[in-house]
Amino acid sequence: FSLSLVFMAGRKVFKKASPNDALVAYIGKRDFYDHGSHVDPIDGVVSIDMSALKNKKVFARLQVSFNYGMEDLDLLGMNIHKVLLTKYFQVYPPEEDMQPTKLQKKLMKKLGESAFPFLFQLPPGVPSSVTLQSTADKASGRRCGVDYELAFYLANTEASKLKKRSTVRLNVRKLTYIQPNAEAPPPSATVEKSFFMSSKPVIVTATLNKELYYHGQPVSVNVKIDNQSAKSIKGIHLEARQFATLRAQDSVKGMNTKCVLAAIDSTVGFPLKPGASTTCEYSITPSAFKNQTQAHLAFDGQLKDEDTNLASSTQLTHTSMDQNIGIVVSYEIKVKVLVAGMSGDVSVKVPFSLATPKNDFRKLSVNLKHTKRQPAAQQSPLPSFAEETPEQQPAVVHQIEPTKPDFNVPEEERHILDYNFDELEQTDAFEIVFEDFVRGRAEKFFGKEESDNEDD
Amino acid sequence: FIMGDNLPIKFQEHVTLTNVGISADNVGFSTLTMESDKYICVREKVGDKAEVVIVEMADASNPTRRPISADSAIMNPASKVIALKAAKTLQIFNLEMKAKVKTHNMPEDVVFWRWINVNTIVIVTENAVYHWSMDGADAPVKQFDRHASLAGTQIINYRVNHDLSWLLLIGISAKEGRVVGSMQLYSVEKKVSQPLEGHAGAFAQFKVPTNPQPSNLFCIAARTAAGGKLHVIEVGTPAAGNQPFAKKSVDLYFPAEVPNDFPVAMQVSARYDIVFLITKFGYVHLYDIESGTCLYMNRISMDTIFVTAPYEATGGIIGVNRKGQVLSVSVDETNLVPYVTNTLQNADLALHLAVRNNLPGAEDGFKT
Repeated sequence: FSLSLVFMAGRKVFKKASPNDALVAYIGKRDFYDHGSHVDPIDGVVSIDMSALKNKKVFARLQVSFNYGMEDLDLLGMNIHKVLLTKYFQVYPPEEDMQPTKLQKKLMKKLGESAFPFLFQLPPGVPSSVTLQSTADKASGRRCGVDYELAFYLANTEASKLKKRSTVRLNVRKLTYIQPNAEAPPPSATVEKSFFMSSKPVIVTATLNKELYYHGQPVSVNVKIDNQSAKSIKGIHLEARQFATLRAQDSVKGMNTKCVLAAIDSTVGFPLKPGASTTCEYSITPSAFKNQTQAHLAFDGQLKDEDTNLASSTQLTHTSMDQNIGIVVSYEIKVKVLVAGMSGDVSVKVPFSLATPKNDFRKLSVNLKHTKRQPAAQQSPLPSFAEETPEQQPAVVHQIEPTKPDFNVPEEERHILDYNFDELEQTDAFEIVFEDFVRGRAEKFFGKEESDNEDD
Repeated sequence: FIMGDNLPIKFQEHVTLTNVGISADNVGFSTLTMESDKYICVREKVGDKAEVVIVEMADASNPTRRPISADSAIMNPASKVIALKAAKTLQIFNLEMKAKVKTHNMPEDVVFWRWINVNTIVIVTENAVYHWSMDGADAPVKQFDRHASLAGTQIINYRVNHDLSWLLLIGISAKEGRVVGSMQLYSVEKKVSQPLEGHAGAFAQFKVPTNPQPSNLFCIAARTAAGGKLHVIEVGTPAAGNQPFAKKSVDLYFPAEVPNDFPVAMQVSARYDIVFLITKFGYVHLYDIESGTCLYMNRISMDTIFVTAPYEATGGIIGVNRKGQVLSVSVDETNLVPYVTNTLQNADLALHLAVRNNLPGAEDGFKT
């Protein structure tokens, strides 16, 4: 069984038209990865109805905005945001020295002369797409997070106000890919604590089996307890915790959030008597699904109501870029050894990284959601699955046998597909399958249509 | 009240807030704020949702509404920036930039706050007074501890002079059948407080014609058990080369039909060097700051004017009364000097005002 076969049959391309059909935008994927050394170029083509141009130009705009209003914390009901980055690209008339990418060549060949390429190249270290879960009324439309939006529009100058009728807006995501470092030692931490009236300490060492975990992978925690104290140890408590820091601007004190993703309480092997020592192994899985309702939990950028992973650990660049990062996410395992009596417990904290596997194919295609062959009992517990009505189903349904009933619990690092559209160049036999988005479906998939007034 | 043709003031009614969708119940000291003549902020409940209504005076017929969860809302005097408070939590938002500018949690409840200039908010707690700059990352900075004489009073105002070297906290309380005004005047330089009895106060810079530098003046209006007084005094040491400003004290006149009236608001017009005083029962008084002479007084509102601000367009005063009328009073440039000449029969003052403020109407005075 090879996953790559699945995609050989048809290369999905996302397509969306402006309300007046003057512009149709095509992009090959919605998720773009920051590899640390470089960021995937954000590329595609725009098909233009030349009769609608009327001496205007066509621009593409990539905007990274940080919406940091928090319904439950802000006194004012307002979508408060900061534009972190705006980039423009003149699509038409085309830039002369533009070298089309493989995807663009393929699309231009298919779409004909009225299709023009666009490309955005981001420097590494720009903030990744992150959404903070809000427990407040969703109808308010306020959300907190870093969002990437592509807009294609007819205008005289790039900075013109966008007109709804002739604008295509697409939300995309920039995700963090963390290269596993085989040489990195497994993270470990030791804490020694002495108690009143007891000369010797309790020594606790926690060691993880590795530093980097993919979403859904269990974290193995090895805990060594050397109880030299005169106290008895009753049990142990473990937590996988997520921390997020909102950095909007220097003058506003950043908000910090802490979420417990999973917890284990155990008394097996306890009490541990004074003078005794022990080593135990625990497995704890940080999971988004157990925490659907937890306020301020950080996810990898959420497009509309679609399911997504816990946010990947933020990779700071240690440059001035870090000042403008939006939401900084980190993880740790906290081990608390419960000491009898009133003298307090012994806690040790070990940081780890959580990351999205590169090109998590589940995110690449909506069609995967409609695999009818998936038995009901094995359906992934993703809430958005059931919301799709039959008429919204795309024309092509891939023949996919999922490897696991729940993609979020891989035992091994997943086979990683590297999608660079090489297959598009090889032969015309590989078809492009257009995901066409009509209004309602596009809204669900790409996010809400904005109103004409940018400032609303 | 009657407004004749020859009055020394112009009276203008700008808008009635109840005509632009604001409930009369919410027109009051605790729900409506006006930090400048640019914006009025009203907190309303619509159903079970709390909203803030922002009336931009330049477009008063189109107020904007936003949901809030605050117990106080004050608009920046100059820009579209709003400060909100819910108990101890303070947040500043830039409405145009859609940004949260600043946020702070005070250790104790805030009993009064307002903008004292375009980038500073005063925060008054039961124990102390703080200044909070909306620029930078600084937390509110304590200015002084509250004086015991203001304990138990309702804080109604806070004033500062032009360079924030003199600060004035004003509270009122009911005592022995009348409303007593208690003030704390604080010198930043000397770090000394002085308790005073008074209801309304303001600072002004006034240049005595024979002095090289302006004098720092403090105007205080009080109705005490002994009667009503307006004092104009110089605070601090006179500037180098200046003769001290001679203190002026004049009686405040309260008509017999309003025996319980007292001053509630004061604005000093830098354009005319005239003190505008508003009383609880809707009277306006105008005083020449230099001589302390009462130029005019009349009733302008049958309803209490509970908030005022300088009216920049004319160098006058603007306020809101309980009915929701937004009113302004300004000097009538054509009539002031003739009025002082003819009605007050004070030709010397008329000539002086005409020369000082470059006003017409004193030509007869020159001839005699």
